[in-house]
Amino acid sequence: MIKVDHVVLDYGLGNANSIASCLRDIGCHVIISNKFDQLRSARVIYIPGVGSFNQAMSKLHQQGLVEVLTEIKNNGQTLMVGMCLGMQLFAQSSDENTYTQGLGWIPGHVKHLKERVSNQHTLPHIGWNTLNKQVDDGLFELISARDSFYFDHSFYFETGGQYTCARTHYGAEFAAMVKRNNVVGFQFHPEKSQQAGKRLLIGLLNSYHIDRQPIWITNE
Amino acid sequence: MDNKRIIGKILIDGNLAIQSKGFSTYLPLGKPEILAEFLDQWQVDEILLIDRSASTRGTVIDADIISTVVEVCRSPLTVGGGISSVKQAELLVNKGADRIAINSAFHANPNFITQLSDMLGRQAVVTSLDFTMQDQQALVFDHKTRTSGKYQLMDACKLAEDKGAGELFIHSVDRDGLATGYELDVYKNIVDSVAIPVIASGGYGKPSHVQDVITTGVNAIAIGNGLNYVEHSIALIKAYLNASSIRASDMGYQAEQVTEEGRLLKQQDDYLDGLKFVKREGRWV
Repeated sequence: MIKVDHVVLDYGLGNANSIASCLRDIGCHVIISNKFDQLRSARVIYIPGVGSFNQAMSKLHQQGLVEVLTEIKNNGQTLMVGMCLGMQLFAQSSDENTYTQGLGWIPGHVKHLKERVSNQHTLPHIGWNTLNKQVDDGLFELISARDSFYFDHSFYFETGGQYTCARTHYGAEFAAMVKRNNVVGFQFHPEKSQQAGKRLLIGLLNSYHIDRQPIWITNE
Repeated sequence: MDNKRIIGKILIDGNLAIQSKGFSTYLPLGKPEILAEFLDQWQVDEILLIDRSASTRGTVIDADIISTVVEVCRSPLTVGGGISSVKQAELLVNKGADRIAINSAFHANPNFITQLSDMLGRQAVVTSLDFTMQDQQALVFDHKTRTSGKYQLMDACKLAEDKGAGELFIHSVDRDGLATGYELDVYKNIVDSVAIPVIASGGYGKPSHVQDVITTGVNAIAIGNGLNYVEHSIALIKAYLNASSIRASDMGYQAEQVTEEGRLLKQQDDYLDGLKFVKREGRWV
């Protein structure tokens, strides 16, 4: 087995290929895998999104991934990164399609945005939006207030302020980034957010001191 | 909130990007991944990649093209062309599509939209509808007969929303490739009648056309041919519009540098001289 630091989880739902391509851009050696030994030896595991919550959980259960991922996360040595739906899976439960239990790594529940957003705003929330930082964290090192990120979702993660490191505003404020120890989630798609997305991922990996080939960026 | 998107539309036929006029005249443009890479670098807000003839050929847009595009493109990607099963859609998402556009399969079986949004989530399902105007009525264009029947576009939009579509992509066949502006009244009516976002498509000729169609309340504006013949086209359109509802490009263009047609004005000599000595600083991160 070849040991690789960056593993994008392939669980049969989600845009694993886009995440892997984006990580290669920022100097990461990355594989897409669902093999337990490769997941166990990873430094970072990325959980992709694009899918519905109940389908994603049932695919994780079918492949025995819930137990394995939870065990890896509990060891505390691996950074777990969720994107869009991947981030929502960290919640205790979701109402999408039908009530479903999540991984439960971060206290909170996934709810439909219509409970918060007035009907002047169309849903799903699709488009670019800025972040409203809630904490000063090294992961925002390369991000300015003008940077926008690509959101594409109908549901949001309702969680405590202590786990919310950035919010965004679309009709109402809700969590855009969550973090709890070695678990970090993005409600948006950094892998699809052009330069800003790459800078955010670089900041994230640097803040956890994870090895990658440095890349050159020009100052604005 | 940078909520209005300017979408770059790449029409392909097999693995060749093409330009379309009125759904009847086609010109070759080249490799789709090259168009996608440029649009990505010019900070387009989303790319729509559609295989125009996949459904009539009875095939599905080639998943390998998606992989090739995703290698070079960090922009959101919506993909369409002959998709008629959940399995096909899942494969395309796995290759890097963020959203799936459904046209023919919706007409054949509207419940397919429901199956797809149950699996992928509503945010990943776009229903694509083509229409023509007849006696001031917008009617759904049928790709098989290549004409419009009696099916009202509005009925199709409402049906798609009920069935679980996350967005509507509404394309005017009459204005396709004519560069005369968008069919404003049609978009206004749809926006007023549905609660999901709407993409206007067909008719872009100059930046003010985008301004006009934004006032109808659509969430996104798709541009095809208009982007392919001007360097930095997307960045110039955004600079010209200078609108708070559109994500600004950071390529440094100012509104007064752009003509009404979306082209860069001839610059004064002192400005051009200054460009010779631009120093861009950077760092390793």
